[in-house]
Amino acid sequence: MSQILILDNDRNTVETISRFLTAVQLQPATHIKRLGSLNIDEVKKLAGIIIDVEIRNLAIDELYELLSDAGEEVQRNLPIIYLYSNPESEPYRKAMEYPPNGELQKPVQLGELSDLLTRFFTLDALLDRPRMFAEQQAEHYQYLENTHQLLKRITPLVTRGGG
Amino acid sequence: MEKLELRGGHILVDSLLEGKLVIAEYQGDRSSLGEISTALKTLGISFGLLTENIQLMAEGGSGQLPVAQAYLDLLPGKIRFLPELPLNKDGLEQVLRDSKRPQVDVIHNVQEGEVLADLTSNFQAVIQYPNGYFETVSDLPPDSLSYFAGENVRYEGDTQDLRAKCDGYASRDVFGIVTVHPAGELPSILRIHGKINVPEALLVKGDIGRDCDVTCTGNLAVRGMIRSARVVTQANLFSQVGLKKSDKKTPASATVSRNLFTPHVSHFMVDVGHRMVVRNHIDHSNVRCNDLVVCPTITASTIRVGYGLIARNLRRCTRIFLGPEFVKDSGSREKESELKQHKNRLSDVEQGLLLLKERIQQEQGRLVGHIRKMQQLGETSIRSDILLAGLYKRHTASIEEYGQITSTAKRVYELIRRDWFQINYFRQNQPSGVPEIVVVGNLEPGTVIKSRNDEIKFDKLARSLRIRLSPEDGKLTATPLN
Repeated sequence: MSQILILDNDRNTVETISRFLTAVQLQPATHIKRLGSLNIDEVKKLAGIIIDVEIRNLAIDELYELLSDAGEEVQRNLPIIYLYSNPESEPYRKAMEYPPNGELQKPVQLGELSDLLTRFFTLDALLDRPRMFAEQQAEHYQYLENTHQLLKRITPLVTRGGG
Repeated sequence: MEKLELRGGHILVDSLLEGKLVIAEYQGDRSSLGEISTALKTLGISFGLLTENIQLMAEGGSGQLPVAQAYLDLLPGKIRFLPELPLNKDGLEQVLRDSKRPQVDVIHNVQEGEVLADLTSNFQAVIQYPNGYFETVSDLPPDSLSYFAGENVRYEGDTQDLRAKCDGYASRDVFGIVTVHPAGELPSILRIHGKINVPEALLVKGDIGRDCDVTCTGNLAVRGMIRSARVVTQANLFSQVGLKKSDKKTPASATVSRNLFTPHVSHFMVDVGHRMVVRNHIDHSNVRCNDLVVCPTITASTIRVGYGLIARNLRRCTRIFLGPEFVKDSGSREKESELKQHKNRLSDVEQGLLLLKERIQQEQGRLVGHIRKMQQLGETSIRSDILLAGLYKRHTASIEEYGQITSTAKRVYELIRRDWFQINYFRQNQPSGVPEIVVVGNLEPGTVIKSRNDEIKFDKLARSLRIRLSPEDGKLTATPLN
């Protein structure tokens, strides 16, 4: 499941976005509270970042440094969406020096969020549990088959009298 | 965006992603989960409701929230249960109209190899939209019909139907599971026989006497009278003479999971899971029937019925409670909780497989790495290396474990599919439409018809009426019959 990081101090906004993401089978990541605690490995696992650029003491350049450290592919494929309340505010103008992939004014309207996310994800592939089960089954059997193939190649080398 | 006024405020509803996701915002004081759910249903949003989010909204959660979403559903095809065909609604109305009183069998005596059920349309996987619209994703193989083969019933692949494995009485439960029970025979049941509880169908050639207690899994056919007794059947009940309480002190009750067919019910407590056909009269009885009651004359009785009553005369202060609220749940909640348990189990099993996969990958890495290292030393060294032998043994065991857990996952998945189909069968075959009472003759003064929000009391004689219950507001409307 694709993980989307939500960085915001406003609980209502986090709740609204999280519930929307859950409904469309994206996974909201809310355990990271500060940019400073984010590391490269975590960035690599993300499928998107939604960040309130008006959070106090936010150093947006830190985020872009981290993305650059994570590699070109991450930089190219990881959508960044800015949240803001006041387009005249200093933090917003400062953040816009690094143009995002999309921006939303608060309070967040789910229609706008949906339109924005549709640019990066196929949102209408919604809840699909039974098919997922069937596909998972097929994947398990395929994996089992692959491991058996590998085992078949190793066995003559390891067992006595084999090969 | 649609707006709907509620008691404490209003709700704004919008749909996104081509109707696959419905969002809503409640503005006002606190409201109840029921009120918001009803409001959504009024707007036609009935499927894939996200109860947790609606609850949050009802508790005053501010802002927009997703309230319903599309989902992939597994729908059973149309399954005809052949022995039950004469019991459709038209057939039952004929029972009243036809003076010759055609025989309607609810015992379904079948023989080994007889076809019990077949498919008239395919099983399907569909995307179910919140507004009721659905889109077929694919047709599923007809062997899914085997999920409905119960005890002593087999699925026949060549002809794609369900057949009896032995002679006996056939029945079908609310989840569509078809079973055949071999019939035990008794001349009559008296108090001296004690409590009878049999996992089969039962044919009683005489009466079931006073103070008896009879429970059977299959159909119960009584050629005589059921007197002041307690009878329970998980299938159909047929009593050729009737049900009559014979003594004031002894309780008389019949609990029937499917259909009841009898000429008389007198001074009895009756609880029927589906339909009840009484060919002459019901008097001084207390009846609860989930779907439909058909009876020419009902006298001084209380009838609670979910979806319909067809009668000729209602006499002497008979009270009818009309609407699904007055009847009980037929076990669907239990089945749904079973499905939830299976889903949780599958999720645990999948989690286990994921962890095991990680372990297998680590082992593979170490094994291949070690072999490469040893290859430089020659083949003989590889075969005699103890560390390598240990790694290989552990790896083989892990793969075997993975295979075993995969088989468990498959079994649980099959259980989920089975429960899923059966629950959807239950939902599809729930009585639907507008609940109504049709009285072709007289409604005597004192007759009361009640719904959850309305009541009609007849102070004087009325004739030939159709009384309909509006599902939206629970109001009753009486119109003359043509």
